[in-house]
Amino acid sequence: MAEEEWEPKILAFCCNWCSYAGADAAGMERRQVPPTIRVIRVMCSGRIDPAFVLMGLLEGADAVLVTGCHIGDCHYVNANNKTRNRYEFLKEFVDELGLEPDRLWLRWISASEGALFADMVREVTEKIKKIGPSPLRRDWKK
Amino acid sequence: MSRCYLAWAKDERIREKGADGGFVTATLVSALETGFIDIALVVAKKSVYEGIPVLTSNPEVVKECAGSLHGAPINLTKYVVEYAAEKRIGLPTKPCDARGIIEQAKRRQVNLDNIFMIGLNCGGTLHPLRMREMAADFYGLDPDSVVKEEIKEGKIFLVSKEAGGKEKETAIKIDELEQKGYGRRDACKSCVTKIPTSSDLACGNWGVPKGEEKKTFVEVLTAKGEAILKNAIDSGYVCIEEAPGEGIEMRRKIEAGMQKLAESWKERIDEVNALSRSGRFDFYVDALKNCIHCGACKEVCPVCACEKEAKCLDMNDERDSYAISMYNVLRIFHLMDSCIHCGQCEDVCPVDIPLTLIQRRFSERMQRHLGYTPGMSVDEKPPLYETELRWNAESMMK
Amino acid sequence: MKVISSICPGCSIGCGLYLAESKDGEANKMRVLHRKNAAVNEGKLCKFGTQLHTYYEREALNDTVDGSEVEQKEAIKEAKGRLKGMKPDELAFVALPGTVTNEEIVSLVALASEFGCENISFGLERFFRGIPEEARYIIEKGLPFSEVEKASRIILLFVDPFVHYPLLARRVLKAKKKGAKVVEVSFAKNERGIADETVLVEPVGLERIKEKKDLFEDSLIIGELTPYTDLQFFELMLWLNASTSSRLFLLKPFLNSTGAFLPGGNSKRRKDLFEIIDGIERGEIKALYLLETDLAGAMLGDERVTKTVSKLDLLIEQNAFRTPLSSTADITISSEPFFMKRGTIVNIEGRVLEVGGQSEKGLQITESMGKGRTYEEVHEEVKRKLGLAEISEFELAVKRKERSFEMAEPKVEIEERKGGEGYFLWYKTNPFFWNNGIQSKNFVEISPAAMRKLGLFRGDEVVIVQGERKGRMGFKISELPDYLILSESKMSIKPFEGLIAKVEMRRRDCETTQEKINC
Ligand SMILES: Cc1cc2nc3c(=O)[nH]c(=O)nc-3n(C[C@H](O)[C@H](O)[C@H](O)COP(=O)(O)OP(=O)(O)OC[C@H]3O[C@@H](n4cnc5c(N)ncnc54)[C@H](O)[C@@H]3O)c2cc1C
Ligand code: SF4
Ligand code: FES
Repeated sequence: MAEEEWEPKILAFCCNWCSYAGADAAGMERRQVPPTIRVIRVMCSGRIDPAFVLMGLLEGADAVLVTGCHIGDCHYVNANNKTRNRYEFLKEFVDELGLEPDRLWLRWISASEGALFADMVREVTEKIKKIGPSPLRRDWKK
Repeated sequence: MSRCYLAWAKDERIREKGADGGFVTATLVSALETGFIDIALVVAKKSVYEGIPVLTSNPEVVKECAGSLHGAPINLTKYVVEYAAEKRIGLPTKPCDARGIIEQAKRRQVNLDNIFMIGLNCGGTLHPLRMREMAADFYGLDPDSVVKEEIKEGKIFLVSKEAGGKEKETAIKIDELEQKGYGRRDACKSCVTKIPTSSDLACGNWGVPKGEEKKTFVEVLTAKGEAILKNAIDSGYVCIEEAPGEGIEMRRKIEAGMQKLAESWKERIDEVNALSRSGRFDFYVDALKNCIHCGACKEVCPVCACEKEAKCLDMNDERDSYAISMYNVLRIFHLMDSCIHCGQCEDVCPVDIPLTLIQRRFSERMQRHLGYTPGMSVDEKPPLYETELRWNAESMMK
Repeated sequence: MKVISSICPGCSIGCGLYLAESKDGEANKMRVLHRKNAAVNEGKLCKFGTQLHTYYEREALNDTVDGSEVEQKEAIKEAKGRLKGMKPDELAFVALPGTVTNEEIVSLVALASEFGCENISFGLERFFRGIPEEARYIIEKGLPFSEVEKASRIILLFVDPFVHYPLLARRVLKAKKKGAKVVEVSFAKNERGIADETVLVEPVGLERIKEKKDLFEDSLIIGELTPYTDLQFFELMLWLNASTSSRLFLLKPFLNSTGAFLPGGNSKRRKDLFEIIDGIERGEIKALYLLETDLAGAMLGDERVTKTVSKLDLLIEQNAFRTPLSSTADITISSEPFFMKRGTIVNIEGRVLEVGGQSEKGLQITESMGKGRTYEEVHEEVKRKLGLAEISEFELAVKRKERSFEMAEPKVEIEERKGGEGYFLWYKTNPFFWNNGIQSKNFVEISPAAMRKLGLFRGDEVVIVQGERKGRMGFKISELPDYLILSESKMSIKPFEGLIAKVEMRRRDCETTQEKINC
């Protein structure tokens, strides 16, 4: 059997008010978004406990994207400042653990930025295709 | 507020039994007798290889516990949290005890107003079983014959009881021992906090002029420290004199020297440094896969303030087949800003995971990045729980 | 807060620890602390040890006669009287030596002989039968862990140190660090990859280990001996040892297993645990004295024990805690929890360890029915039997001498394992397994193939079926042979010898309406 081209699995956390709407917009505008992405919608990026991101990586996601409203636009005052704070910890963690830094992303995307969302997914997919599957991924023998 | 004294116990028996001037013991005894504190936490000597924490309001028990035990690598933090969170308590604190207590205060487990930390300078502790091996292999002694141990002038002194009841003293340079893999615990070798500046007082023998042994060098660090010292003087338990200038200078120099040595140990015992990114990954996975999830490392961690309802326990499902368990990942992650590198976790790990090294590698780079040292001031909140970034925008941009 | 030194009763390793007791209002609160200068374990503990306080928090046993509470004196008097009324052959004494001190063992043996009774079991007697005299030391004595660390070649024979005896794991890891080669012979590959080489054996193919005899040359073989060990397999272990230049080190589940056979002595005529149970079933044994033994808890297939025991004319239970059999016992006599005991034990390494307590209550129960000796007198006898002058945890007081012996090549054929579809369930024993009272894991490990075959998803449960018996469990996938199921917890599935059972497995369907909605 010919080896099928390996497709990365990318996990994206999107906040209900901005980045999820942005992802939606990308669809409405009929933009090409690579099928590598799995979206989990949360009410606010501030809800994304770093543990979720870490669990995503342990589950075998090849990359995890954390997205939310632009700084200042968060619908819960300043919760995305916390997101930014936590992301800094995650970045150090991922790097020290020996994973490639490209396996973790933080992007602010507003409801109208469908293009930005599609571009981001494309960019991440390309980068991940280059570095290959996550070493945390476990494939069970058939 | 910092002021330095030489101090000693007036009671000759306390002074004699004390590691140096018996100041720490006399201060706790006076605080108990005058009702300044309700209770004291000290370490009772069972043998040179075993110290047991004792919580007591009986001054006689405190007197019994005078002296330093270098072979008792205990951290007193959790005892304060568990047994005396509501009481006015006084206790001797090595730097890692004090730092642990401060971290618990940040997490509202204890109220610092009620805790009097009589700090002890600390050059490091030895693992009791390694100390036994050392006594046998290097000192040529029957480990059970050792009745006293002391660390001074860079040497470890062991006093043994010989056949006829005579005492014999043998000393070997710490450096020499450590080159051969004996000596202090790894965590202590690479610890840079040698003077417990986050305690109320800092006591030690560094800075005590030659020929003036049986005095304790005391630095007053806080108003609480001043109060407990004043109480001890007023009630007639301790004598003090101004510390001489050259003593203060000597102490500073020794501290700096020890810190430099610690930095070099960090390098020497870090086997991960030489590895590539994927080598590092393999190292962590390999080491942590041995975890049997006994939970001991969390239990003894002086920083962790979660009880049974902890995220690292709740989110860990043993049915998962992750390369590293959620428990380990979350413990490392949650300690990145707060690990004080005391090494308690590694001491108790049943499968000998090099947790000191692992926790240090993750946390030190984060703490450097944050410009934050845990356990120093109760006013600095753990950065992971802050809303705003602690680092400057420039480092963010990179 | 009061800190006392103690020993963990979880398995034959005998880890040192501290128990800190404090008052929380009226109630006593207990915490386990690490005793870093413990010679056995450096204060390190497995999950059982770190949770030992819950073991001690179980419901205490009362003194009762025929169900009504009495003074202890009364219960003892009654017990003595009723035991006297029995013929010696109708009596049996069982002490699975998990929390029994050497002194209590010596006292029990003396008591039994006062009654002229030979039926005493410490759980492993049947293994002494039919083996050469020179091989006895293998059952009686273990080896110091320093020998494990020094070994250059280690065979893990159906032992996963991380699960079976967690404090053994670091010793094997240390040996590996020094260059030892570790080979595992097992039904499944070790999940943590502790072995450099794996020899997989099928449950029906134990016989084939014999072909691999050469693997065992010049090695330290680490195995396990439990009341459930398959007799043929035990003979195979001995044979492998006898016919190669190897050493055989058998770990055991009960703390004082070594002590039980040393100061306890071992008369060949003694009955084995299973023989006693059979004897009860046949009506030959009419009175049973259980010393610190949760018989139902230690055995698999509970209901047989309960049913069997109900045939007794007299059941006497001496224990600190209630057991499932307490309510059916004619007389219950309360002793003190293990940590309070004054006395000694011998761990698998041969160290004589002091339990650390002050109480002689348990010892005095058997002594007051028997010879009426003081603690000191009994302790002197223990010391004499062990050849000890002084007791130190750093002394390897009970040493073993390797002896060579001849062993006929055994046949290993286990009928029940053969034939039919289905899965094999392998119980991986561990301290939780033998000591009731603390929960361990609520899932089994299965192969990815089984998961796919049964169409399981995360969070699903499986039902494991053996005739009438059923067990319900969560699952975890591991790299296992397709037909294998591993369980670290007890279920109501009864193994045939060797802790293996033939079972069926299916996905648990949603049964109640609410569950169906959630499905
Ligand atoms: C492990 C250790 C290392 C030390 N290293 C240095 C050093 O390098 N340089 C230096 O100047 N001073 C060091 N000290 C401090 C010094 O040994 C004296 O404790 C200090 O000078 C106070 O003397 P004292 O006579 O007033 O105290 P004492 O009156 O003797 O009272 C000492 C108190 O410390 C308690 N204690 C003993 N062992 C421990 C322990 N392991 N952990 C916590 N508390 C304990 C005792 O119970 C007692 O209450 C160290 C102390 C310890 C415990
Ligand atoms: S002490 Fe060691 S084995 Fe126990 S939970 Fe921590 S890392 Fe795992
Ligand atoms: S609502 Fe979008 S980040 Fe908070």
